[in-house]
Amino acid sequence: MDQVFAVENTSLLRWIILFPLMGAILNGLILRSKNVKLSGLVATAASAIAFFICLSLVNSYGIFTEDFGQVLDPWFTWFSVGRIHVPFHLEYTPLTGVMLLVITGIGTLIHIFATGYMSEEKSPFRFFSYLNLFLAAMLVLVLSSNLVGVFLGWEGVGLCSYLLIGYWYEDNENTAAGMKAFVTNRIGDLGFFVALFLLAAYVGTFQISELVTIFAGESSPVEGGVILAVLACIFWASTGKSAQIPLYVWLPDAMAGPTPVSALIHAATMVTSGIFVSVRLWPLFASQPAVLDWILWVGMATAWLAALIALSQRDIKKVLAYSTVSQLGFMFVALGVGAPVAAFFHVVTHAFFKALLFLGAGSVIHGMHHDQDMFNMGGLRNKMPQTHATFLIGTLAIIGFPLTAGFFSKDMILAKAFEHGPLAWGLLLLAAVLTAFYMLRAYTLTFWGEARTEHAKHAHESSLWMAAPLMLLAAGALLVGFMETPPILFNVHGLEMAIKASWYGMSGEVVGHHGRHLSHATEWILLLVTSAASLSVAYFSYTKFRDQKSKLSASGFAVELSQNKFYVDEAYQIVFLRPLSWVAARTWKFIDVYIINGTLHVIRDGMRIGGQVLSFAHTGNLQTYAWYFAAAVAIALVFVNWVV
Amino acid sequence: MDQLQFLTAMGITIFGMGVLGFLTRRSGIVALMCLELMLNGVNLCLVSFSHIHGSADGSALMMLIVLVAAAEAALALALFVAIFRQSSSVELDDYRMLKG
Amino acid sequence: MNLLGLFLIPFVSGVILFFFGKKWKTAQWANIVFHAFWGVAVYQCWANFDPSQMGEVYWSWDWFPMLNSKLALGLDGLSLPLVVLNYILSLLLAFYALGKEKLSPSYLALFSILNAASIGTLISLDAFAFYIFWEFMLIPMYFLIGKWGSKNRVYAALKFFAFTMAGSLLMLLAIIALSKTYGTLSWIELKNLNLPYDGLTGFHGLIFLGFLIAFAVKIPLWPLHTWLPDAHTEAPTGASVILAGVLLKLGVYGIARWCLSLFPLASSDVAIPMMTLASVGIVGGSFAAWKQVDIKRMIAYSSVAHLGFMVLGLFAFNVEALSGAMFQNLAHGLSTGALFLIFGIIYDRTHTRKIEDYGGLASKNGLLATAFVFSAMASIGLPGLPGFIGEFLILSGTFMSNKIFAFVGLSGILLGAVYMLGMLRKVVFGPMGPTVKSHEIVLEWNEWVAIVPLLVLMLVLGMSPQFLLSKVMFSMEWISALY
Repeated sequence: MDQVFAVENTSLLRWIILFPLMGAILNGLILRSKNVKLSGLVATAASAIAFFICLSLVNSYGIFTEDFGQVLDPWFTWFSVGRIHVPFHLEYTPLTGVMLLVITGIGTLIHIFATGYMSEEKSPFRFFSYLNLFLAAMLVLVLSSNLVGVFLGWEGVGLCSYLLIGYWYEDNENTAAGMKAFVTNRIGDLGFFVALFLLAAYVGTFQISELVTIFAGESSPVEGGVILAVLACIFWASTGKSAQIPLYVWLPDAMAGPTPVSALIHAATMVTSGIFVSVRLWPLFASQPAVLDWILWVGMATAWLAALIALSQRDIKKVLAYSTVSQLGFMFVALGVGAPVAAFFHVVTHAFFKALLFLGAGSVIHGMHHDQDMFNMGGLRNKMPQTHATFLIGTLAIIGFPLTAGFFSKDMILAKAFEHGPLAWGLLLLAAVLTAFYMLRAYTLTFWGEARTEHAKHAHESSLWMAAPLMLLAAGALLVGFMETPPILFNVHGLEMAIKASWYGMSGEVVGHHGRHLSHATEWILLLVTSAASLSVAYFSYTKFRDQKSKLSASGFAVELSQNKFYVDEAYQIVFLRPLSWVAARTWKFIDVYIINGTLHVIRDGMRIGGQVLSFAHTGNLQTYAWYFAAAVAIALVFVNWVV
Repeated sequence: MDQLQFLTAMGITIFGMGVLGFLTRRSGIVALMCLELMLNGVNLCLVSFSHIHGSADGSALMMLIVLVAAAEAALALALFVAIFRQSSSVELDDYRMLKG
Repeated sequence: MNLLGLFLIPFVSGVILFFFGKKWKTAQWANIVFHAFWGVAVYQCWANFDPSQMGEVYWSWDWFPMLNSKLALGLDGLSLPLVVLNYILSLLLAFYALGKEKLSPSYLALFSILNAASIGTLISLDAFAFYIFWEFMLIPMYFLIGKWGSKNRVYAALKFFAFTMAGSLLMLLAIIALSKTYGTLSWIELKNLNLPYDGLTGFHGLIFLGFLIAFAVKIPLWPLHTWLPDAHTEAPTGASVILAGVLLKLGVYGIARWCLSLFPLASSDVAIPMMTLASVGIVGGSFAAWKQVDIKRMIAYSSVAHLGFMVLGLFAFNVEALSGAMFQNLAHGLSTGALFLIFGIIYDRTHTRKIEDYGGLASKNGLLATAFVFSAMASIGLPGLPGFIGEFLILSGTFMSNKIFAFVGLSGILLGAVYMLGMLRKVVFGPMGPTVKSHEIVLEWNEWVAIVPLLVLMLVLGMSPQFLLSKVMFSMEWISALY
């Protein structure tokens, strides 16, 4: 097939993956150093080198550019059998470039933070090895030019997530959370498997570039139903990895891992991979609007459910976890309303402010001697001024305080939702308002009021190792929004250009999209309404929790529901896990042990008994045997003479 | 009844007596004698048929059997003597060592 | 290609090893020297392998003219990977055996004889020779389980022997029938005869079933699988590794060689039932593995599930699934072999197989725990490790021919994660259990030599399987062209 775009080959891309991989091997297998500085240095260096390679790539191939060809690293053939041909090729697109910078940039900062945070560890090399391995897998996911390679990264990050959640493995709860994450993700990954099978059976290619250019739209050589099924399956996989209903349950439990892990994997990078893959494949999604509707409403329900749960959590990391789930819901809503740019924009800004919030929370937890209950905190703003300032910036960014990163991305999503329809907009706005409430609640409970426990009274500021990344991330949370701004404010469209240049010349217009464009007046009104609603609720929440006049936790049926996470985990236990476990135990006991082995033992015992019965004939007496002999001869004679 | 029928009937009768004796008598020595009786019944038949057919094969076979029977009788009697020395009985019922 | 050496070297070394009497130390090293010789032969076969032929006979001897049987030896894409796998596992076991004290030269001798038999099975292209070697594998295995096994070994050995014997008697009948009817037992001649087919209950159908049942027992296909957990559990470590790594694989190999190739019509007729049984095996095996309290038994049941995948792949009849099945053969041999080996090394120190006695292995020996987790991940088919490529090829091939079975297979992938991670959680992670606490778990150098190559091989095969796939591709295409 002819490729209308220029292809450039480079072997630079593989080194982005190889450096973190080498870091992981060096730390985990060779050095195995108990010195946190050394392990941290090795890991940070590996990550930083990858970051600089990404920078040089972006520098040489461009990122906010309109006209873009294809940059390929044809590394090797992974496997090729019959109709299944899987090359292990890496590919750079501007979209990839943005994601690469986010992953390696934020990744490096988090590595630095972790060097301070994990200072009391017995085996820090294990932690840093996993963290580097995670980076390598995530980079495979992002760079791979075909979906099987993406799947390699996809499950690879899942493995690292499993290992890191269960990093403090001596505690059974942590390993249970790790296993829950892996298995839940596997349920999602089955969807990815089916998508790959469909591609192998009907489409014949896994290459993203070919899928996007040949199989999107009217002229697609395969039936639309197949593509629809593929996309539905990929979305199902995304609900696992990107924590949407019904598979989001693993993410809050994943907070059992060390906080830098929560920041890197469970907020900034891995959980957004579902959105990333969808944006890469966007022209396919755009050609199948049916799947977009599902995405929209699943995302919306998730955004709401998670926000409602976040309202009443006491653990600071749990609040942030549910807020992540909710924000991921926002991103899926953006995809659902046909705005991949908005979705990916939120991925980028969210990576900054959520990483910042998590690291801030980590700093707080570090200062509080690993107490995570916000009800035990209070008044930390004086004791941890840097943490407080950066956490505040993160909070403002997530609630969409004007001109912060979150403001631009959230506004863009809301504007696109409004274009889609007022219902989606209204619901999403309410979810955003909930965000403002619970985030200010978390912030105020932590940093304002009086210290409520001894730990809080004696909390200490973290070292520079931990404070420096916080500041850099805070700068990011303030500034990255300016890469894509609405027409009424600055009118910058860097990210849009980058993303559209990554679709191999496809437009990415949603089929049957009415393409309504908002007037400037409407945009202004939306902007003001959003900001006003969020900020007023935020202020209300702030005053409510600052004075601590009322009790910290309310009561009532709704609050119980929220505190108990709507009993979803319990429901899954009762509906799926226990019946399955019961069936498993019974099938094994009944079929294997009872029926099959039972039958065998009956046969065996039958033979044994038969033998014993027959052995009565063996009297041992010579004459008995002679009688048998005579009888046998007689029978033979009779037979020969009269029968034959 | 011609000569052949008579001789054959004689042989079968001797053989039948041997069989019955072997199956019913309890003494090992008697059982051994019955065994010889059976052989002699067969021998009689062999010789008669040999004579009728004018062929020496049967007679030759008979000679062989007599020879083997003599050897066998000697061996068996020696065994009985040995057994008798061990447990002072030649009653067949007393020996069930063949039982597995 | 020196195929005779491939088979004779382990046989002769086995015979020699029997005469070492009580000289255990010398025997250990002699065994490694014998493996070096054998390795030369294996390497020679690998290097001179001609990937563009199927069933070519390289060496032949008219050993049983009255049975129309020749000892015909050949090596093609079906057998090559398993020959290499057999050699590698055996070599690593030779190193593993170095430090063991309670063994005797006859143990190694039996292993060598077993190797000779399994190699013979793989390279004979004559039904009767195949049968002889096939049956001969039982004898050393019977003694290995019955003599060096653990508590319940006699029961397990007998069950193993009775099951496989019953299966292969049917194969013997089928072979006699072939010999009497066609006057030849050579694989390629039988193939060229294009054996007629008259329904499953007809003459040729019954011959086909005779072969099929023998292989189904060996694989083992559900519901003929219950000998496997017992045999695996009771067998000594080395025997478990060979059992999982080589002997079970021969069932899959046998189906591809004697059933799929010679009886394409009959194979198509049994495809749906066989795939159903395979699916039941996948789900049932996974369920059973989930509920085991004995680690070796759990790994054994996971084998039942994995072998179900391979049968699924065989009866999908397309080149993707067939290559997947053959590749999964290797992948499963390596990963399950590694699991048995690593657990065997732990068991040598702790002497308990109960999951509940363990916990916190990672605190005791981090590297060993890493190796264990690595092998478990390979077993559940993590991409980047060979199990993924096998399962992916099998299931996409199955999906192309029959979607329902592909979905059932997928459930096996999920359940695999459930039981394997559940086991890891209780054995490797968690607080340190009493058994782990009270035993030193430090590995000797020779034990690392046994484990590490397996892990490296898994990584190589998982990331770069093409060097092997390209060697076997012709054979797979050859078989799938029959359908």
